[in-house]
Amino acid sequence: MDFEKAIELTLRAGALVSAALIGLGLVLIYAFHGSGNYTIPQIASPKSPINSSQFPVWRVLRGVVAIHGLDYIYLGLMALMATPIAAVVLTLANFAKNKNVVYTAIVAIVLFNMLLSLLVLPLLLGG
Amino acid sequence: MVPPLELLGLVLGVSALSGLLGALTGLGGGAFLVPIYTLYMGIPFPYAAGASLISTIATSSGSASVYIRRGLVNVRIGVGLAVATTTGSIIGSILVARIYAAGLEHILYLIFGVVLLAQIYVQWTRSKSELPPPRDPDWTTRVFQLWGRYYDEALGREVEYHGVRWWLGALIMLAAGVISGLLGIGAGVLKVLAMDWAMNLPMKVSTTTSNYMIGITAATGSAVYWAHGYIQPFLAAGTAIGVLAGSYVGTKILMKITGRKIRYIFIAILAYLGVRMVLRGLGYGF
Repeated sequence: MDFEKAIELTLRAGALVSAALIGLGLVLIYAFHGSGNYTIPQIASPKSPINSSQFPVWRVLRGVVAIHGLDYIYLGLMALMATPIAAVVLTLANFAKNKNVVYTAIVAIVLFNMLLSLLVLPLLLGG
Repeated sequence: MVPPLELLGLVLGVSALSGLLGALTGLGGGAFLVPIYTLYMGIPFPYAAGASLISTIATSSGSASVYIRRGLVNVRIGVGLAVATTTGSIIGSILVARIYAAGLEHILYLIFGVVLLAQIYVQWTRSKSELPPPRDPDWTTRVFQLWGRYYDEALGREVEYHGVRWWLGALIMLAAGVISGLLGIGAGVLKVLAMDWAMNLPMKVSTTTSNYMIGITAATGSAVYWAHGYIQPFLAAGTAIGVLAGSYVGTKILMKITGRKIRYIFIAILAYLGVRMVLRGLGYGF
């Protein structure tokens, strides 16, 4: 499979999988009249106090097992954020394979920036 | 207070419309979405920007896959310039937390309005010709390998192109990244400006490559937004799905729209929203 085909498939799969998970999460919230300890009026309010700062990865995974709608939404959003990262990893591998030194270095910096904001900055910011 | 099911319908409807208009005007869903959410629906700025930023990843992934297949996106140039946009996005998203903490939210309304009006101006005055006037390659053309080819349907032939002035493009991209992190929008028009005007790339290549880059930029900013708690699940869910659906339909319609009158109406709506955001930033109204 050529490189561009791989990127195309990654992006399309990412968009579809995340949309499906997010849609499933919304259905679950309405089907179970809430998610875990949260009620629908708490969740579905413009100024809701429920937000991503209370949902680190481990909590989302536990909620997915417990079939909590909110955690399916967050899993979908994580899949969405992971999609461009996967595309950049593929791009990096392709440049490395073709021995394109300049672009292997440049894309490594891009990946570094993405992982920095995903893994390191939340710790530094106390999120 | 809007009942929960109605709120979902409203969020889906508004974001689908924003996605549609964003695709038709070339400004992206966030340009309509954030003003409508904050000015008319009482949604706090951080939640509106968070939902918007997440939704731009969805539209970027959804449409870029189509453009890559047609060979329009220059992945090398796009990912290379993402060095600047991701750096800018980190700066912008850290900066915005300081702005909220300091209670200076009105500044964001002001910046949003100004950026919106500037984007309309750039989009309006943008050259309508398919190919830029030729320029001699410079040292960045060689070092950053700024070349490519694509089949241009309007011209009916294969086009070979090369870019220049990578450094200038990267500088504008850095600003686009900061704005994306600050306001939760793709800032696609600034990305296009960097590639059209600074780097002299063909219009189709700059538009589609910018679209691809927006996802990389927004994913970087979203991670910081996540940690700060700007992503409200319900709003983000409805917005991502709505904008994705709306922009898909918009992209399909765009191919068929020939009359420009209808686009003028949308631009007028946007200009109105831009002025309203500026006024709110200055403390007038609401």
